[in-house]
Amino acid sequence: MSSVTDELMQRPFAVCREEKRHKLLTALHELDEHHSAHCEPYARLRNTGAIGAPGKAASLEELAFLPTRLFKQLELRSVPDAAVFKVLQSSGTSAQTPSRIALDRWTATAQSRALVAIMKSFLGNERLPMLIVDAPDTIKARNQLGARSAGIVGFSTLGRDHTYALDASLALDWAAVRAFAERHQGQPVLIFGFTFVLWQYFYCVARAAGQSLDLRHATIVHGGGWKKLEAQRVSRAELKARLGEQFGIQRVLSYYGMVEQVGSIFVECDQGRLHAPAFADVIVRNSAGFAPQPSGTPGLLQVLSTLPRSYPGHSLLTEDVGTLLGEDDCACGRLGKTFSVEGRLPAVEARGCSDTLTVARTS
Amino acid sequence: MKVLLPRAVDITAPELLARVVAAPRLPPFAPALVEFVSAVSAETLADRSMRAYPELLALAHWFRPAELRRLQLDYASQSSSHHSTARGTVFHVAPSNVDSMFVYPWLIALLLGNKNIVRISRRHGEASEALLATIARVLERPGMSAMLERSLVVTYDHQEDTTRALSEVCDVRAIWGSDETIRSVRAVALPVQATEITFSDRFSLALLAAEVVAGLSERALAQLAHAFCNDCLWFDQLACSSPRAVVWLGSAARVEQAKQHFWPAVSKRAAQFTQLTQPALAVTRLATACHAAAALGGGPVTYDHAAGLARVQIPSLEPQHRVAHQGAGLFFETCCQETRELAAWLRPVDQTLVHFGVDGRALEALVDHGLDRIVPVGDALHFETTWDGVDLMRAFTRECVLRVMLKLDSA
Repeated sequence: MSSVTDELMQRPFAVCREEKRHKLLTALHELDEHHSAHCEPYARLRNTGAIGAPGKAASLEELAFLPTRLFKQLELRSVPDAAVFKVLQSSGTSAQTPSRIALDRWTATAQSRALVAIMKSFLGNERLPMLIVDAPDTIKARNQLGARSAGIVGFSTLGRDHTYALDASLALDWAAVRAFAERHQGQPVLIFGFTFVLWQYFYCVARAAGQSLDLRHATIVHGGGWKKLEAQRVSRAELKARLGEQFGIQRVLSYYGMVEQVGSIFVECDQGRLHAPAFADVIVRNSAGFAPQPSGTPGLLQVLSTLPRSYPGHSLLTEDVGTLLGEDDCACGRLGKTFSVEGRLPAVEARGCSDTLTVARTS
Repeated sequence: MKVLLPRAVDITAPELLARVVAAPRLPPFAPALVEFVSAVSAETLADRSMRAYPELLALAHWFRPAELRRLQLDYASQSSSHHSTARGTVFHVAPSNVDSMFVYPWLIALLLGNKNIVRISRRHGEASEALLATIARVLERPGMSAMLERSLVVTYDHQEDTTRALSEVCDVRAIWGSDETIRSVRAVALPVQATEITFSDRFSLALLAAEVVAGLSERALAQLAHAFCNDCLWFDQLACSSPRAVVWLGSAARVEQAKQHFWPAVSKRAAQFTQLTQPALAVTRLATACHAAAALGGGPVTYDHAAGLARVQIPSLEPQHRVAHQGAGLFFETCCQETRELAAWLRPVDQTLVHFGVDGRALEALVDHGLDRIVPVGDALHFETTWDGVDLMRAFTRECVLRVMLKLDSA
């Protein structure tokens, strides 16, 4: 089924609903069987009824899905240890164990190719000069990557003349940034960074120091979540406006992705919608029964991908809340489902032991 | 450190602390103490806004005048030839984020004549706020001023210095919380003569006799289901005393019958606990069920998404099941033919077992296997003065031996 993935990667935003649903379902059936055969815990999940129903799902909506949280509790692999090429780790909170995702060569390669295929649609075919808003040593441990470093390493393949905007202590290296801008004056460039790092260590620092540059030919691509910015009351609109003010940047694209599902990078188009590429998909579910929600109604985001072969990450229920906006109907011209992400589910407040209650007896 | 009670704007925290420490002990159940607690109970029950907090209504009900009289009588009948007095200052470390738990031991210690320092979590919820406001109002009444120096309710982040300062002046330290909280507070020294009691995270279960359940009329079944839901589903099933495992007693065939009969009735009653179908709990329930199925021998798994429940069959109850459980309406389910089998599964961490339809002798086989409470279904969340095996009435008092007669030979 890797040939289906290959084929879909050739035209990531040119596959219409009917064709996509059919191809994806076939590919995901195969992955379900593959993981059932090679990952014992996954087989148990299926056989006990913990996820999905017995037999072959009749539609994408009926496919079994796994909660992403499970990857924090168990290391699920469908390949022998010797075949593990890279282990990805989620950032996680301080109190939580991170998710660990084992990639074999095929899955890791597929991940890079997926990223290139998707970003070509937003950045064009040329490799652009790339300014990375982070410190060079963020990507040090190359066989154990977190989301931030995986993002940098992954996106780096799209660029050239990689220049880091921050030094080892995350201080803004203005000389390097200025030199980069001068080298590529008047030409399109790519600026990449984690949302919060971009805001806090690039924009805020430059603004406070009164430093600005003409970066009007730059496209900013950023991801990693809005939570920290929300905590500082900075909205998406504000981020774009400020970057425009300070640097003349017109094009700011965010993306949504997660360590638990490689290849699923959902990029924001010029219409402000996040797009599912042909080899991935999104379903929004309610919580009282996990039934699919109609467009426009927020719910839990489930993500599907034909890429995860080394671990059972092809159908995952995330803890993010989002809303389906449409399918094959975006004004930007790209086909596929579009959606928005509202944010993380609030954590369940851990309530303590021995709570007590006497209930006045009714009879 | 922030002082939540008493609400005294112009007195510093160290001064308030000094006042509490210097305040005299009072005789257990001194009239002023009983009057104060009765007033708190009455004020809570009379306040319409308290209807939003059923756990506080239950608490007020527990401390109503008739119940206080009974407590006093029980207490008097237990201290016969000895003289019981309050221990002095009790330092209570309340469990985090639980809204009513800390009030029971606090008021019991107070009734017994002690002074109290209560540390509650920064994350304390609305119910705590509401109750503290009610108590503050009672303290403002004429005649209640003597009560002001008998309690100090504070909140502070996990600062060892503050814990040390408060521990240094106490005669009893009572810690309610996670294993981690207990370990870290315990590490702070106590005065040589002070005592300490701890209440850690516990696990609870239900034992149901299959034959009896299978034979229940619809009306009786509804009552059982109602009581069971009350035991289990408050506080997102996170109360230590709420059953998280259901053990059926009986033959395989009977157990199957009983399950078919029981769970639909529970499902109906569970509908009132709408919290369970909220996304965060639904995901927790799903994730725990998956964890159990994937790695802990659980299965088959049955979901009742509409009611917010899930059941995971397990061959036997193991420590790993207890650790994996996160509340949220999930039940591990298993069966046994005799209570002896269940006894073998029990561990010291198990606190409450609620039972239905099981005869007394079978229940006796479970005593002395770690459980602190073996009570009927419906009673799981009833607070009792003996908690986690500790008699709070004794823990908060000390006994003085007084013997008057000296036998001398007649001259």
